[in-house]
Amino acid sequence: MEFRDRYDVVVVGAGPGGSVTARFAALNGARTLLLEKRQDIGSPVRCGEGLSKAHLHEAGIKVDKRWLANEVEGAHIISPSGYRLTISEKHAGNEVGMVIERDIFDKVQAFEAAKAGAEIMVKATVTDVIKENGDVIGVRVDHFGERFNVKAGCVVAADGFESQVGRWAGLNTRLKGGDIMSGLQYRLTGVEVDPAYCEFYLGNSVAPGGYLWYFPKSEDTVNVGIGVMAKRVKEKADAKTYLDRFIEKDPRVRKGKPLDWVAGGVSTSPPLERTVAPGIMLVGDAARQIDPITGGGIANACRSGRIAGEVLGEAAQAGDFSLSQLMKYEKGWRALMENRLYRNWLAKEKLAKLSDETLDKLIDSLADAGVEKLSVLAILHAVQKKYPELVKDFQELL
Amino acid sequence: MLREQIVSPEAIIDNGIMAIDTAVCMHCGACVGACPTNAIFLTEVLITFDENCTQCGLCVKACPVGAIDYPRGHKLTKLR
Repeated sequence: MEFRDRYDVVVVGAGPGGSVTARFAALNGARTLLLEKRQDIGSPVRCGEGLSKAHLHEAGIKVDKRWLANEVEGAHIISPSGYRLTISEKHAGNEVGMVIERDIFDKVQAFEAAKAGAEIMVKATVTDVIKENGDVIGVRVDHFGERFNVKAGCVVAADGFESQVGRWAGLNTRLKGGDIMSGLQYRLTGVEVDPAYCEFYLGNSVAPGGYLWYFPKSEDTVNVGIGVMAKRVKEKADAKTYLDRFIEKDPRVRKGKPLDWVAGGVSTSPPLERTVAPGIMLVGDAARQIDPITGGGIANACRSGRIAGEVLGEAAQAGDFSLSQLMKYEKGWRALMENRLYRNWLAKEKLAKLSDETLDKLIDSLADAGVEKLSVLAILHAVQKKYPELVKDFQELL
Repeated sequence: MLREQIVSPEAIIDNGIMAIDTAVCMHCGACVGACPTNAIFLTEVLITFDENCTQCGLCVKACPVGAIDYPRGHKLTKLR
């Protein structure tokens, strides 16, 4: 394989955000290189694998049986004392609907990028950015025992939660302890969990500052995972301790056998102030575009990736990688999702502070009211009817 | 099941900045994304802390499996 020394666009990271960026950049005429540090795109999986159908088509992605593991009808949200709110698929917010095979999903997106004309290099770790007069002009790459520079009109940092490339470039992607979730998941087989529903368990006794999930992959296999707010961690490995304790108490999964363990961090932060600087843009988890309520990041990464790719294709056609051209990406993704991300971050901050008793009341009142839409407003109205004293905590969201 | 903790000095890499239990580390990157000073270098087989580390401890909390600790002699260390 012959690679060039210079591309219009160099994308760092072949996750969904990176591959969709590369695909649309290449489709729109940019010479594009997609770099993946691992030897195997999509593996190991670091994901709960829940995904909504709602926004994928915006990123040019069709539901594909190669990566669709299971379709669910809805979700149960369960309070600390066991009050249960059931929502049907069409109202279930961002992150239920499908449970996917994430490794295959990622490979398919990379395949689409290649088909569009992007080049791909695996086992290629970016170790630094190259700068000239403060502008990013390329990246330093370690690939299979060789070290070299690749220059680019624009570098796209799609390096996920770690988000190091952007920081090397001088963008601030730092997270507060309250905006970091410490995550762990087991894929358990030999379980008896209803494959038609995802389950979300809330509460300080269950998952401090986060939630615990059951995402069924098939009739007898389920992803059981937990996200715990780093700020609320009292002892090392709290994520594992809480997850193990919960599994031990649930006879449906207690005898399940693990097919894998998945660890990882998830950001639940407000949107970054800047995701573009001269010669570089951030996409997906690296840009902290994860929904702070659900912790889901795939759909937003793909939607942003498409905008990034189109802006970069246009840049390559015009030979204009100026900051003002790149800023079209910044404006584009913000118009699409910034308000929602910010509002959901506020809601997450509020939710994380609720006592278990209040969470019980909240879920109970929502179940009672038969909430049809999982919107913040619908929730507030339902709560107001039964527990008006609770709503004062949420006043600023109204 | 009879269990004993692996007490292997080779498993714990303590460079005086932070200490990592390599028998436990899943190389998942939760610490890297949490680190406010970008002081952690991670590959599939290697994880190290450099001099940019301020020992703020956010990585200790972010690590889902408890593989990171303060170095030996630090007042917060729980190393065996």
